[in-house]
Amino acid sequence: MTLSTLQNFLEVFSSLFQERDVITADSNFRELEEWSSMQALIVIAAIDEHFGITIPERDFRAAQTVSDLHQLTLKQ
Amino acid sequence: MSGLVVTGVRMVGLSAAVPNNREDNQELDSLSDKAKNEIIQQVGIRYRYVAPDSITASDLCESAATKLLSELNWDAEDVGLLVFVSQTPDHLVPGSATQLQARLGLPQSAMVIDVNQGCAGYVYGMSIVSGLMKAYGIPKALLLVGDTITKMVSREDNSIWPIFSDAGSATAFELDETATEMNFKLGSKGEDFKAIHISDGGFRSQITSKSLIAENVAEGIVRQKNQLSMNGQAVFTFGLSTVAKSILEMLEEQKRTADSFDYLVLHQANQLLNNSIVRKAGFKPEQSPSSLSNFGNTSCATVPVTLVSQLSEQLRNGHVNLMLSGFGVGLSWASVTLETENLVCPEMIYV
Repeated sequence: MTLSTLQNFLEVFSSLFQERDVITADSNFRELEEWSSMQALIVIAAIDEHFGITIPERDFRAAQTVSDLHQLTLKQ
Repeated sequence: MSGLVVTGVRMVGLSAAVPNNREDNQELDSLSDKAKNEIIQQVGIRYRYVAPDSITASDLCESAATKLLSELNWDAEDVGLLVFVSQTPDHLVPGSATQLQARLGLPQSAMVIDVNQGCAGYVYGMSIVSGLMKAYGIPKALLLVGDTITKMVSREDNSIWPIFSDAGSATAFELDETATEMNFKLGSKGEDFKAIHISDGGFRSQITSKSLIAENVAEGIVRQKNQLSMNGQAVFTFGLSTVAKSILEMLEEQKRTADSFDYLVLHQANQLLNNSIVRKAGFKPEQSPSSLSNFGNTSCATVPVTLVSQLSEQLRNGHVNLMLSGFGVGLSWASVTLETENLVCPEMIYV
């Protein structure tokens, strides 16, 4: 699995939301209108599918922005 | 560790029972429209069966077992082993297996055992039953697996009340030298036990008056310390990583490919999770039947409920190559590969 670029990651992340046009790398995703515990699972599953990385639960909970999540995909 | 292999034991039939009291998540007033949509469309659960106070897990298993014994034409006197897998026994003391011996008319000489296991409990129970049958030469055995988890969940906990459902099952096994092998792979990760647990009510943290106070844990989550809590995200991540990996290892160890199986029957907790596990393990979506929408998460009974509700025709008529996999509370997981032939498999029982 190749490492994702931030741009590539942002595209995958945004595609999971209706409000995709307002999402940037610096967006606090927890403040998105559509955010919910289910949406968190959808994001975790999509990152796993596209980048081959299952983000540990504690790391995911600490992340705030899309860019934070992207960093976590590079860490493993 | 590679698989635990049992030869010479054949699954000959199974049945499942639910309480005849269905609830519909579409009509759950405590949920917002958005939450309803997520539960029904993404988690995949529309209907749940909720046992009334008068019906326990052992009752559901007893109904399933009575029907199965009759359809198999088995004499209860010939059953030498009964294993009851449940987290919701009739009493804290004693276990329920002895009462099931009496209620089903099994001989007093039968070996009867209670096992506290949940989502992995069906496959775990199969490994216990088949291993003991083989070790002691017990010709006929019953595995009873069921839970009434709704009795331990707060109705005001929107994070899990819309998910859990009640069911019981019975599965019959015979010693048979011509039976093909059952190959088990079991696992535990006890350090994460709090991901699904009840804080108070055991003997580490006994019930006090404080245990019974309804606490506002988070938005939409009101529960007592003697009621079930679940960290859904932790369990989801566990399934996505550990369970998918274990299934892949199993394929590798057995030098088999996903397409050599007719079906992969997964524990039914979350359709998004199961879709992901199926994809990661290299199976096709149509190989993995789902009973989530109609039966919800019935804890240890999800695998037999899925077999009975989705595959009874195929199981009754001919040869089926199966992989079964349960995972969750413990945390623990258990998978098995086996072949079945013309099983006795009555329709779902409504108690």
